[in-house]
Formats: sequence, C-alpha cells, structure tokens
Amino acid sequence: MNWISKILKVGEKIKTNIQKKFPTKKQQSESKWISCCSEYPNLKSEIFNEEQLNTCPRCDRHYPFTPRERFNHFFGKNNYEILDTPRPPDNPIDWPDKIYEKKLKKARELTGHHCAVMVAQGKRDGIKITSFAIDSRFIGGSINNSSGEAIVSCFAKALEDKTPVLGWSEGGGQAMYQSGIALQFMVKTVLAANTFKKESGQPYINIYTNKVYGGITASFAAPSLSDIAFSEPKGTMIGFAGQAIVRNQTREELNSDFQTSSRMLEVGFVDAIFHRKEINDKIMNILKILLHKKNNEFEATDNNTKIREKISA
Amino acid sequence: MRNYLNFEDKIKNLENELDKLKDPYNNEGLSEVDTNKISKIQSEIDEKLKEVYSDLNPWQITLVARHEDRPKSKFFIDNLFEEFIPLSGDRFYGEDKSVISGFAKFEGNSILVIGQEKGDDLDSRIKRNFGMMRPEGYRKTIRLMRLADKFKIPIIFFIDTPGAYPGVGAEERGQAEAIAKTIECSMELGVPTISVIIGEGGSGGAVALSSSSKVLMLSNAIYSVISPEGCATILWRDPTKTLEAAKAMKLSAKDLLNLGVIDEIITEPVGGAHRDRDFILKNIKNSIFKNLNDLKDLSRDEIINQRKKKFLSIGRSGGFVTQSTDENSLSMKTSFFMDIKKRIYTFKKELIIFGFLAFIFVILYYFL
Repeated sequence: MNWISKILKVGEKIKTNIQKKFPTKKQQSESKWISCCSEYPNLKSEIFNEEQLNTCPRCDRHYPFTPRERFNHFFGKNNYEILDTPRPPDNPIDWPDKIYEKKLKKARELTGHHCAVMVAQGKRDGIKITSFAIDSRFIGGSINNSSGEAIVSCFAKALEDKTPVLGWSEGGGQAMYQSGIALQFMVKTVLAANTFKKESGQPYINIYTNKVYGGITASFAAPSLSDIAFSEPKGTMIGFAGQAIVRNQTREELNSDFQTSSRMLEVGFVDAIFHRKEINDKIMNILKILLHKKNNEFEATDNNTKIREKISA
Repeated sequence: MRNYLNFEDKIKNLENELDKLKDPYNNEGLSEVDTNKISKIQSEIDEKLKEVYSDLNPWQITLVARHEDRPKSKFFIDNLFEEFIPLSGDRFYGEDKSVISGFAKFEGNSILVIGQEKGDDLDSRIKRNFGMMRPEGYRKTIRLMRLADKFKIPIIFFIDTPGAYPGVGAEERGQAEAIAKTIECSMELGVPTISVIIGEGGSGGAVALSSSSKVLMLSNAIYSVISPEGCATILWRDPTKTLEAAKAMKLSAKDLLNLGVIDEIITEPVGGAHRDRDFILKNIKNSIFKNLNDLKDLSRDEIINQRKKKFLSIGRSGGFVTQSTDENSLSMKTSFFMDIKKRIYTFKKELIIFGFLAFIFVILYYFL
C-alpha cells in the first residue's frame, strides 16, 4: 500500500499548491488578520489600537504611525497646531505624461495633506516644541521640493520662535521624479538644520521610525547632524543604500540584522532605542535636562525644604 | 586602440581607413602617403562628428559622459596644476583611493584639489573602486577642507562618480553620516569653492562634493539623482528603456542650467572631451581662473552668505511662491495669490454671511 499513500501525498501537495494563492494588497488591507511574529495570524485589532500604538504585543514590532497619530500621541489629541508650508510647483522638471502629478493627486487624496512632511507646533510639559513628521504613505515618503521646503520652514519657524526641533524621520530618499531639483534639497535641508543648530542654541532631536534610507539619512536626518538620535525598536531600518542594491553590489548573503536599529546601536549611530510607549517621556526627560527645565517634583521638594527651613527658623 | 560608442560606427570606419593611409609600411606595400586622400577623409570625419555630436539625445550624452577614453580627474590634476602634493588618509580608519586630494599651485596661487577618480584601465579601476567613494573618502575630504579653510586656500572639486559605494562595510561605517557631514562642512567654509562635474555626477556621492560657491559642468557631463538604468528599472521594470528615463530626468548640462542647479557650462570640443584634450584643458583652465577671480575679493562672511543664498533659491521660483528678498532667511515669502487665498480661508464664515445678506437685500429690493 506504500505507493497509494505516496500518490495521495503528491496529490495533496498539488492541491495545496493550487490553493496557496497570495492575497492581493487590497485583500490584505481589508482582512481582519495580519501575519506578524507567531506561526498563526494575529488579529489586527490586537495591534492597531490606542493602547498598543500599532506595536505587536508579542514581539514588539513597530508598525508605521501617520504624522497625525504621532502628533496626537505626543502633544495630546488636537493639542497642537499644524503649520502651513510653502507650495512650490509640483512638476519643476516637466516629467512627461503628467505621471508625477497623477501620483501626487492620489497621495494627496489618501493622506489629505499637500506633501509628505507635516509640521506642527505644540506644548508638552510647558515646553513649546516644533516638530516635523514624514508620512511614508505619501509616495514612499520621498523628499520632493514641497516636502524639502516644509522641512526648511520647520527649522526656520523653530529658529524664529526659539523652540527645540523634534523630527520623526522615515522614508525612502529623494524624489526620482524631480531628479536634479530634489538632489539639491539634500544641501538645503542640511543648511537649514545647521543654521538652526548654530543660531538658536536649541536642541534638534531626531527619531528614526519605520524605514529611513537614501537622501533622508544622508541629509537632515543624519546621525551626527542631530544633537540626539533615538530609534524605535524592531521594524526600524536605517541605511543609505537599500538591501537589494547592497546584495547586488557585494554578491553576499547579508546578515539578518543588517541595517536594523539594534545593529545601528551596536555600530554606534543611534544613542538609544526606546519602545513607542515610553519614547515620549524619554524625549521630554532629555529636553528638560538640555534646557535646564525643572520638574514639578523638584519644585515640590524645593517647597518642602523651604517649609522645613521656616519651621527650623 | 580607440574605443567607440555604438552611434559612432561611420566615424570608426573612416578613422580606421585614415590610420591605414597614414601608415606607409602596411601589408599592402604602399610606399607613398596620399596626402590628398588623407585630408579629404579628415574633413569627412570632421563633418560626420559635427553631424552626430550636434544633436545628441540625453542617453547618448550619458554614454559620452561614461566614455572609457574621457579625461579623468588625474589627467586634469596633472595638467592644470603645478607642484601637486598628494595627501591621503582620514585619520580614523583608512585611505580611500577613489578620491585624489592634495595641495597644489594654480597659476601661481595655492589651491586644494579634490578629485573623484574612476581609473583608466581595468587594474586602476579596481584600485580606484570605479570612482565610488567610501566613508573614509568623505572624511578625508572633510579633514582637508577644514585645513584649507584654516589657511584660507580656495578649493576645487572634480566630480566623476556613479554614486557612493553601497557595500556592507561602507554602510556600517556610516556612508550616510559621512555624506551629510561633508555637505555640512562645505556649507561652513569661508573660502571660495568650485565644483567641476567632468563626467558622471551620480546621486548623493556627487552632491556631497558639489555644494560649492560655483558649480560648473562640462557640456557632455550628466548630474542626476539615479542612473537612467536604475530609473528605468524602477519605473517600467525594464532596464532597456534608458532613453525615456534619461530624457525625463533632465540630466544634461543645458537642462540643469535652465533649472538653476548649475552655474555655468564649459564647452567641450566636437566629438567629446577625449578627442581634443588640449582644447578642454584650456577651457577648464579659463573657466576656473575666471570664477576664482570673481570670488577672490569677497570676505569670509560674504562667501558663506553667497553660497547659502544660492542654494536656498534653488527650486523656489514659480508656483505659489516668490523669491524671498531677505538674503539669508530660511523662510520663503508667500506670494500675493497665496495671501488672498489664505485670507479667504480665514474669513470664510464672515464672507458667507456677508454674501447671504447681500443676496437677501437684492431680492428684497427687487420685490418691494
């Protein structure tokens, strides 16, 4: 009976292979389930809720956060002001067939924002902070002229108001559809960050989230350009060239931790890695230390000592 | 042995014929050199070259920019400058041979030269890593740029690279960090800096060294965010559609001058820089000399401000914005239309109420 069981096995294999269709992106986004760390799929509602903040409860994998979610989480819901950013021409190098305009229109409908970068100003613990965040749903978070100008204007506004800058960086680099112009925005954003750092005397804190590559890591979000560089844990990748390019160039198998945030911590390009639930407090801690701001608790102890002095007197 | 591009077939045949004629001891046993025929063929070649090179498409320009015989940084450094002293090492990790750097004299004045070198034959190309710089190379240029700044020596960059090297080691030693630091350092320099794009200016590897007071470009050089092949692969999943990609990316010198990304084009001889090296040497020399002279009398702050203003103004014309009148401000001035639009948005409610009241008045007036 051995050959019969063999045939049955082969038949089953064929059946499973036919049935094993990969779901489309639309099906994936509509599905209630997501495959994360365990063998079995996880419920999306377990990960994408306000308590978990788009992180997996089992493996701490961090899923993308949109700028609005980010600001809501950091400043408190609607406790901040979204700033207007400049709007240079959409297609400065006349890319043929209006391909780029169509892409921009789609992205604008999806995100409801003019460019990939959102700039906000708000207060947390009494400190006014100017913050920018990049939306990677907006054509991969690539920096075109309006996004670049937004970052420049964020630094300009912070310089004017003398506030610290908090950057949430992610995205794939410079926009290919604006070739020469987009490339110059590497210089412009570095220039803006540098002017801010020199003239304002305020800190610039940069946090790596999601995937940060290319012209973004090589300009305003460079590890050494920001005063403090934090990163989110699992799910964050930091590098210059993408993994496929590195693999093609070197023709080697890459280590599984290549370009991950934990590897970048080992190599020395990130100050620390914090979970999304605690990162806000850590940022405020370091800001208070850098700006010589006193905690409420400290004030309380001060009062206590004063009272004690009075009593003793 | 010369190298020919695929659109130069006719020129290749003619030049081979010419070489045969010029050599009287070839296998056919000719004893006389036919000068008439030689001059005739020579003029024919010149005509053909003019015909082909007067109307190159962007992809053909890319091929010319990458031509094997094209003069490289080393040739320009050897022939433009006297008393060149090569300096190497970044003092942190190692020496990057893909960038040649050192102090020299140019027309009697001290100068710092930094040139990305691709190499002339296979061995030197491997040694030079095909002009792809590693973080060590960028850190070396930062070290030398600071040194030149200290002694008030102008800096000249020659740019010829396909891009920064995408290797595992380079990534982990901080390729991105080194590029950002180079840009930051070159924006802080108080001495005139001039970049000359002599071949390929590829992506972040090129922009790091071309954030200078003046960016010059040879007429058949290219400067873009990604190679045409890479762009075609990403857009159409077809690496052969290079012509469309090259056209769309506006990577040629003429287009970039119109966009304001570069400041000046240095004309090349007919048939590309490799066909008449003396001609291109003379042109580059004149151009660098003129630009250095223009920047010579500026003070430290003026140079820094000029550079800052130049880069901040790129990509700001057109659309809903106008040029900021304040020279060194980071922020842009919004234009008249933008102001009106903004006001309409802010007084939306009042405007609607006002319009509604006016409408009622008109109706009442009509009926009563």
